Amino acid sequence: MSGQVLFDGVDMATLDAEGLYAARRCMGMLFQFGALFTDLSVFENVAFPLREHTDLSEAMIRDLVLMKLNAVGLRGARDLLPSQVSGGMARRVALARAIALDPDLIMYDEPFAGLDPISMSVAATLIKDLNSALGLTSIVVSHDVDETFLIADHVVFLANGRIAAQGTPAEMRASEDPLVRQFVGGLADGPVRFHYPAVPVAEDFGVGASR
Amino acid sequence: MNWLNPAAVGLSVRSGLADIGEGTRLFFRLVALVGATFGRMRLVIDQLFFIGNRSLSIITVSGLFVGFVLALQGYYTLQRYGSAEAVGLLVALSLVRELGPVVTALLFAGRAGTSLTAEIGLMKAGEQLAAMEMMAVDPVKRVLAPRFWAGVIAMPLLAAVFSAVGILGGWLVAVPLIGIDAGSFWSQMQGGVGVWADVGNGVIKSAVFGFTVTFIALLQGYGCKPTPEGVSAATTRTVVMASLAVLALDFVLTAMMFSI
Amino acid sequence: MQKSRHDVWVGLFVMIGAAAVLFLALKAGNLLTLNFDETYQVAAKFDNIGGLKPRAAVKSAGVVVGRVESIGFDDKTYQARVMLQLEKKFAFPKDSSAKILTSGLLGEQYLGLEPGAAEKNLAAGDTITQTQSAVVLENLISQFLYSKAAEPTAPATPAAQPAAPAPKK
Repeated sequence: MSGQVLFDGVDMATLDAEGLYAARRCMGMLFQFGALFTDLSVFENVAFPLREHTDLSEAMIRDLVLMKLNAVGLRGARDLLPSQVSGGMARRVALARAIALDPDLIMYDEPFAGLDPISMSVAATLIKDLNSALGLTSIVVSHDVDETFLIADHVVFLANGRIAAQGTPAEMRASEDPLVRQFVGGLADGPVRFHYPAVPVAEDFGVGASR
Repeated sequence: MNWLNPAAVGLSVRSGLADIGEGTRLFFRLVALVGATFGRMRLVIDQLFFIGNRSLSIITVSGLFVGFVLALQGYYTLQRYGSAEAVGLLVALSLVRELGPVVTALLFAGRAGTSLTAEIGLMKAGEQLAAMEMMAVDPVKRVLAPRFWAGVIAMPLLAAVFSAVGILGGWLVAVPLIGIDAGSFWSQMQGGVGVWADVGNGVIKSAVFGFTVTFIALLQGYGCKPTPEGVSAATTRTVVMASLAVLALDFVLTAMMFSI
Repeated sequence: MQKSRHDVWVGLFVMIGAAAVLFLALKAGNLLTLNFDETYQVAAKFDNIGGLKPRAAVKSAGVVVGRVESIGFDDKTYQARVMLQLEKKFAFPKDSSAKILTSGLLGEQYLGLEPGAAEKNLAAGDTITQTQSAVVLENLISQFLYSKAAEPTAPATPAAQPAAPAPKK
């Protein structure tokens, strides 16, 4: 499948390293396990993009960091180290870090994987609220159909290296495409086969050989 | 790798060359970043603390014992020729010219080199370097360069401390313990050790070793596989490659500097 | 630049390292013995300089009074031409002699200056005419063998002596 990836009208494939870095300053990314800097405290982690890209005073940085931490509900955890926070909390800190520079686009890599139901709904609420409050665009990569369909505006199914289907969540639920039905319905067998390719059963178990 | 398969041999030679090329590019990139790195001294100072200060204890203790042994062994051999007074000169020259830079570099590779490799490798495994790139911060500039220059600064200082402590250790064994005359201990040393020829060359050697060991440690960490096995293989490679490089460079530098 | 909490310790580390380098240079090396006094240049011609090297010491009465600056070859007189830098505070008579000596039995070679008795002193650009070349080991050995061969009775006496004590036992 071919095409272009346009960000703010610019084709990403044509950018050199400098241009790529300039574009990334308007993006935030949330990695699957947070990817927090383990040698820095929660506060320092969120302050990192501010210190690197801006010349703001310490007082301003402190205010901004505490605001971002407040948005994700972790203002009280500011002095903890990443090794001292739980997985769900780490991801929320990473989210605060991703929104530190008020980006136009945030990308989430499996934000719901491995979370308990409470944290999962917290994460989903945060993603939706931040999206509307800050007026940004969010791209969520996920396997969790239910949570994602609750918050998504547009769904794109990727399978076998191509876009299999796209549309609103309601359209996806009503879709007749067998691949989409298998995924949305969580069916064990369908276009994605249950059995790994193997020789026929008769050959392996000698059924019908000595009749 | 099947040595009889020409395609496999060619492929591995080619990928080996590509690795060397990539390593060279990284080295020149780090050297070129000297201005930007020293513009952010706080990062360099933090790294100097982890690399330099934390290595002081092992360097000092090793230097002391090497000095003890040199004085002892030197005395046993020299007194056979009636030149026991020259033990100070022997200890000082051995340390300042060779043992100071080389042993410090080997200890540095084992202590600071492995910790650098493991740290960078684990940062890579934990996606921290990728996160930095996504935040439009160049990991080479922010993480590698401060560590590189801190290592380059720390090495000559550590080697000097090693040599100085070794000489004091030699004095401790030679004068109070064995009973050699303190005056001739120091005067023979001062007569035979040239400041620029010996001490200066020793400092140059340790600076070159600093470049080498730190670079190898950073390269292995940066290019390792982000798995536990990958990190452990990278730390082993750091120690082995750094030690071999130091010994080979020592020969080359000695030949260049001390040939008359 | 932000303050780092490691500043003090790193500063201490750098000071210790610098102190170590200074110690090596001053106590172990001979930095303090380098003098920056003014010097004047004098030349000396030798038949054979032996193992004399540039920067070798020029000593008089055992005290260093200068350094050998350079050694060249004069192909008009087929002699070695040694340029010396003597410290200005030491003056030597014009007829001083220069010898190439060895410190210790097998040590480095240096230039020994012995003062003469002339009234005028050596000035910059002068040449020392009285010189004694270095002792070359091969010449010594051949001299010894030649003199030994010239004594006809010498070989007989050493042979008789071991024979004498033996029968007395």
